[in-house]
Amino acid sequence: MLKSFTSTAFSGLRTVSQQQARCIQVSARSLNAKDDSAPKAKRTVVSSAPEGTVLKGINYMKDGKDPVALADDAYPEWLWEINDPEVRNARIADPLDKKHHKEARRQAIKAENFIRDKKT
Amino acid sequence: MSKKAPAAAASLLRLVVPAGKATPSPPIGPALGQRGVKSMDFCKQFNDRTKNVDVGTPLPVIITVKGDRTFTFVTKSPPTSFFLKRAAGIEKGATNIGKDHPFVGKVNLKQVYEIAKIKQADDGMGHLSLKGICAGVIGSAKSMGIEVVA
Repeated sequence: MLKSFTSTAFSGLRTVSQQQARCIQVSARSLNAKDDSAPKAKRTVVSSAPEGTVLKGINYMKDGKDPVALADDAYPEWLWEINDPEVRNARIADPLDKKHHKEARRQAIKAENFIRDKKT
Repeated sequence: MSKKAPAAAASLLRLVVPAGKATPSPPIGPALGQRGVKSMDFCKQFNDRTKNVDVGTPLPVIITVKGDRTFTFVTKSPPTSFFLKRAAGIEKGATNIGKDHPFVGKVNLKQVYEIAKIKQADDGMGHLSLKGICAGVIGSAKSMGIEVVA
């Protein structure tokens, strides 16, 4: 088990250093790659607070009232994606995305620390 | 409640004070007294400035005390944890969090959005997008054991 872990760790380290060297090129590509040529999928998330629900606990002024929920469409698109693990995982899987490299780097550091702690 | 070292002649004091209810010796009195400021002065001004706020709402304050013992202060929006606890309808955050522990409360994304809108008004948030602030609120919720649902 340790052997397979080692190989993963070292390959992770090699890849990370290469990725870091290319990070400027990659991030530039990511910026350019953000053209929505493919039609965006229709949002499947439905809010648990339908339009008209009073959002309790938000107001803290004497003369104010708790805000009322608007229709789902009135909120920005990113709000429905921000808590979606699928969206996050898609970004981590995409090698052009910064998140991919951050996660790879994170895992490589964890693996290296694991090895180092095992040795001492 | 951290105190920064005096820079030149001014020193900064960060406190969290319940709106409209300033003065008690423990939090405010000694902290201000050490810097030569009369706590009554601060409390009167603070209570006056926060008279439109629900009494007892915790408000972070940053007090700048100058060398000549005069002071100015800035009030910020309540802590995110305060909003989250109220929105989730709970008194306290979770003692333990993680995959082996159940959530202690639940908030939905629209509430997160509204909380972020309030926080956006703070000075320190000027460089953050609303999306970034929402992500921060969700992060706070997760640290408190509050589940964020759609």
